[in-house]
Amino acid sequence: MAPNPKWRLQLEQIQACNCAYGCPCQFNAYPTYGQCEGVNGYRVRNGRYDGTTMDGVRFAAAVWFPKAMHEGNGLGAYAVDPRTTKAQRAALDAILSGTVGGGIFELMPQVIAKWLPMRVAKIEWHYDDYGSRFEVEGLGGGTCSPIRNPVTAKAFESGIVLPGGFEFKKALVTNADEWWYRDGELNLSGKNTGGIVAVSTITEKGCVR
Amino acid sequence: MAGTKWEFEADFIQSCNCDYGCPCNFNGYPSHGNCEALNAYQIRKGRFGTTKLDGVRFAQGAWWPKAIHEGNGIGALYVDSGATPEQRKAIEAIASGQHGGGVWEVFPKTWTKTHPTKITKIEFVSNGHDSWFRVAGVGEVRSAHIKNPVTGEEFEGSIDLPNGLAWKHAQVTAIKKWWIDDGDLKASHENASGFVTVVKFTEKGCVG
Repeated sequence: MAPNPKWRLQLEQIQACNCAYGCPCQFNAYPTYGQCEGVNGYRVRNGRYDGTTMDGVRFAAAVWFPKAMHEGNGLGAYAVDPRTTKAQRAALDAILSGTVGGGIFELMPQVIAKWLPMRVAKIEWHYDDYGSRFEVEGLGGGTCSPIRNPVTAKAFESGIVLPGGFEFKKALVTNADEWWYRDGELNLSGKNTGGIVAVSTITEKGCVR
Repeated sequence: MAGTKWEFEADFIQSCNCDYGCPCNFNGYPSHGNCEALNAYQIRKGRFGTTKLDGVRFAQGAWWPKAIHEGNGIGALYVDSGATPEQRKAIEAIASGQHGGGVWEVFPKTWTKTHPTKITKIEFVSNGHDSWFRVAGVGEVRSAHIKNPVTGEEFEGSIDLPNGLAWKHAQVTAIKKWWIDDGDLKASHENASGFVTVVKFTEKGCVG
């Protein structure tokens, strides 16, 4: 087999899941309500895959696991924005296949038992820390806001730092106001649940920043 | 005594009954409905007015029927028998909530019952993730690394709370075991949420 191609993506990520705020799974705990459901949106700030420039590529993922993610048997779906070029799409397919390294992108195929066919759908993207949101036309999306202090209602700031993180090294914790994804057997939605936003750098060696 | 200036820097070990990372830190609700905790401090350097607090150890046991901010809790203060009477009074004053101090001011407002302070031997070993403490006759907390459930590797994670009342930054740990048995404060948990950190407080709140 040819050696892994070199690639590097600096990614904005907007995540919403069904867990409590801060998602205990980030700390190797079990999902708050037993199963794991979530959506992730990504936009490449800048990146390359071999000779292909990946700047601006937008994609999204939706997943469902009956228990914790690492226990497998998941159902997954990806969507990619139609503005993605053929070369970018080929690069993204390679990355998401899990065969060219890349931390979370390498691990996900090991725990997803069934992938739905990748969809091409327009992705609206607005990354703004605690006020981030994305929408995958006709399929899903997520909107987040600062968690509010339950007593004073003041906007709450917090972060998670994971030196060994394979998805991010540092993220902000948000309130996922509303999120959903509907495609075939996947029918996910939530309100006011755990949200994470991060800007990370992922390469063939994994999450490096 | 009101308006007394005070400050301390302390090693801190926290245990509770939540899942790792404790969603309450993010204004989530307790993982299992109620909140149970046993925490301890070992002051590196501090003072309350003119009373030096260097080396003082103390612990807090607490229980709430729901989330902390929903109140109706029970609180208890334990001070190490090695503390002088002045130091004991200073710690009691801080823990009373009458002298500011972020979480020190907030907790008493959420308790409808407070145990009389107990003076007892407190052992405290600060050793990063593997820190532990024991409150003689009351309870014990033993922290360790969380382990990756697949690889068994030791996991490191931390939480930043820029406006935190109890700490600004802490390492997330697994409490291998903790228990408290003091009248109506009675709990025992294994592999529950823990934190270790170094905290700085003044009468204005948590400052580091």
